Amino acid sequence: MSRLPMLRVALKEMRYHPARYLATVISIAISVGFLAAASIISATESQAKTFQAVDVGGMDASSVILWVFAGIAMVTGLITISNTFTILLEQRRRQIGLLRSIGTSTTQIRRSIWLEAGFLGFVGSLLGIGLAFGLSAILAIYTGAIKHGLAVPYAAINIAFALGVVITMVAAIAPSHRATRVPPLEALRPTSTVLKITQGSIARAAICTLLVVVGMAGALYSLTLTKNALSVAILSAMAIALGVLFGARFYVPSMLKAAGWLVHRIGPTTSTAAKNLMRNPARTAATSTALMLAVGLIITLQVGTASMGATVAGVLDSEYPVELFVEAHIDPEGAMSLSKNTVSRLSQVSGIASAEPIECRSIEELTDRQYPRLNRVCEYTPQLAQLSPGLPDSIGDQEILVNEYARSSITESAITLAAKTGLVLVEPQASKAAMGNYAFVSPATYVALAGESNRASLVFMSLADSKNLATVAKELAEILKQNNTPGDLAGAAYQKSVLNTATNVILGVVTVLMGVAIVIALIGVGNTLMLSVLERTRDNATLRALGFKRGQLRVMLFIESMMLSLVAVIIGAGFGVFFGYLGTRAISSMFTFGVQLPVHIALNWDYTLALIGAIVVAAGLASVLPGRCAAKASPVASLAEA
Amino acid sequence: MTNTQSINQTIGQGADVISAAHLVKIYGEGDTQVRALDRVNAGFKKGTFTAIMGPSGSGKSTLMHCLAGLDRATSGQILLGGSHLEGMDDNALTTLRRDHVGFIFQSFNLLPTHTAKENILLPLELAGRKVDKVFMASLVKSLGLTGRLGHRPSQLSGGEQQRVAVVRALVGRPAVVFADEPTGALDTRNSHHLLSYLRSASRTEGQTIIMVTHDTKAASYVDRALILSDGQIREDIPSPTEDSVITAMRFAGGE
Repeated sequence: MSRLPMLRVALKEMRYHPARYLATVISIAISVGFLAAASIISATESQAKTFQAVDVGGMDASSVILWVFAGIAMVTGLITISNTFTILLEQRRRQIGLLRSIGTSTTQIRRSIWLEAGFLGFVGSLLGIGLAFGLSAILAIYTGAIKHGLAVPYAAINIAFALGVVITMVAAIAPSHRATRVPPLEALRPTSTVLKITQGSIARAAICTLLVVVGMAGALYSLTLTKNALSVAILSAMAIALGVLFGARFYVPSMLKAAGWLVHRIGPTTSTAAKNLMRNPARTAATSTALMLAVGLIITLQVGTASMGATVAGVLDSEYPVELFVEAHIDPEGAMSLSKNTVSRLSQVSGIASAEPIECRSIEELTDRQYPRLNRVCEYTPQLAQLSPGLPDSIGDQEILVNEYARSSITESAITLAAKTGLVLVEPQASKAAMGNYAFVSPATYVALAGESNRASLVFMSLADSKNLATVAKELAEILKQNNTPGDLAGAAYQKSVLNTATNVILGVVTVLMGVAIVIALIGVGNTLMLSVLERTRDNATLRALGFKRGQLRVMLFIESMMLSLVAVIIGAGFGVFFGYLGTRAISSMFTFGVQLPVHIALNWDYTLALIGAIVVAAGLASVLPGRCAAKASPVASLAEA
Repeated sequence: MTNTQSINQTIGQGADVISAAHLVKIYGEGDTQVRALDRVNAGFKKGTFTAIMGPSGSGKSTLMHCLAGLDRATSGQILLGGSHLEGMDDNALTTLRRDHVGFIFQSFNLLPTHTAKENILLPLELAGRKVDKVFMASLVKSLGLTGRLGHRPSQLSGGEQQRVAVVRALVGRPAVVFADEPTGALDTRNSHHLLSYLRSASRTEGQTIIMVTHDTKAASYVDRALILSDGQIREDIPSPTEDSVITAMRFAGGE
């Protein structure tokens, strides 16, 4: 007898049932491949020095972010690999029992399971690295970085490879202990189809509850903080996430039970599917954990990104007087002006409802301050009020409109400006109209002020429709270039469209990168379904004998996959939204000066619905193989002795 | 054509609920080929309780699988409840089983996730049929299952589980109930109760029952015993006794 009896059994298994190892190897390959691809791509790109333009949308692909995502994919991989191992060993229960009964020690069995895990890790990692090279080559061809060849970051690849092997072996620890804990005679008995009511230990329940409670308290506390809000929020979210993930077995079965109750009237196929999920609650919960983690993270990032975008957009709305405006550059003579022709061309651009040129001059505030608080003063014509609902109809001759920040820094009740003859005293009023260094006075006051006046230093515009802003902006920029001294395009709508593009790119990248983790999690779902089909051969055969058609068995597996995935998606998405809110609150409170920014919680429905749609489709695909396997079973098998 | 006609004449005789003609079932190919059924002809009248008996490997299980539409014969014909099974696709066979066949298995084959009541109602639910509540109540009462219907199989004794399976098989009043070694996992007392119950179901309800068994004691409960060996029917014993069956079996096995 070989000294590693299980290895021999395992090698035989691999020869005769290679499909059983598929899920494990694919999970390893994807995790390792992702990590390796990240390092190859970044090395290749920096070698080609074409980096700024790897337009995954202006996002630096070499950044830490890719590694972070790869790490997350690895954690999901760890959970899935561990599940696939449980299943592999469960299928080999009888062999293990036999080996135990003829005198193989548990240590021997465990050692050979780890060796087997190492071997699978090796194969999976090798496959993953091959995959990574393929993927990187395709991307490098796409970006053009290929002309300098693919860079091979040996150190990083070795790390990825080693991690793949180690993680697989780590993932095998718990399942190997569970498998060898079975007494030999028990293992030789046929697997009982009796419902296993596996209860989690009380200690586990207590720890998970504690984590969630402490995390919730921390989360609430973080809402009151400004300085360390983000770190407290992150720690709290992690505590809650750990509690929720490790406590899955305490609530996932009840959720499935409730879901089963909701759908049991639909028909026998649905109700049987719902009942099947309750057969091994611990395993069902473990399977949903990986998906929950992946979905939770991705939704957290989606909500966080979209909410930060919306929050900043809200700030922009209050910051800028109008949707769109042009600020002229200073020309060599010190003037800041757009030509009459330029202004009229700007107003003719389709999509622009109106364009109002504004006359401005340098301010001469008479004060002993070293730095002037105001820079330029402009004429507030009645036409401006038409451009945006937030602007005042007119200004009194004794008033000057300054922005909120400037207003708070002016302590006097009036400021003194130099006039053509003598001085003018004006009362500062905070207004949205004034932005940055620009202040506004009434036409009468403006005429009286000293200093050379530049016509059209600013052009305020209103939009006919904000949809095609990108093309409008492009056209405006073209016109501005042709002016003697060009001008800058800005405004709430403009900044928002820039911001939107950026958030969309980040959302896209995040969704795609995290998609890898979801794929791994769904492989786990398929794997668990496959195992349950193998365990339920006799029950499925009975169903066939009693009148379940082949198609109905496939539908049954499909429904099981859907229910399991949807429960994970609901939990993951629910906590994801919550964590996204926490993060947004925390980040925006760090940029607060005394007043809390109004936080807008936003979801990018396109991405979120696309994500959920993709999960539903993938969950459906995950049920295809198990469904076929179940449908293939002959009803005659039900009559055979158990 | 003439062949089909002759077969139809053979199967069409009397009021057979189910009949088989020239039934052949071959497993495997070439050298490893096994002829499990060798031109079997048999008919079963309504309301009869028949035992199919024979030594291991005699083909009795194969015969039952083919008759019940669980497995396909290599050749030959089967007429069940007025439909020919040969040439039916899997879905049609499944529907036929669902609507016209009841099963009682040796290892009960109740779904562990379903309560007794859910197990009983499953085939009717699948067919979208309404349950005859009065009939079901009488079956449940006469089998002593009152108050046990909300339990899962794991909470029931073996005898109780088999009685639940009996209700499941009878409640839809199928054309035929097939019982595969129904007493195989039961003690003597439970076996006696089960067989007596099946006999009374065939007499009072007119339920056709075909039972595969190697338990010679079961012979005294049935109306007729078919003794199989090497894929052929060797004896067709009306009103068998334990002794007559043992003799016949010895004869069949001795060949």
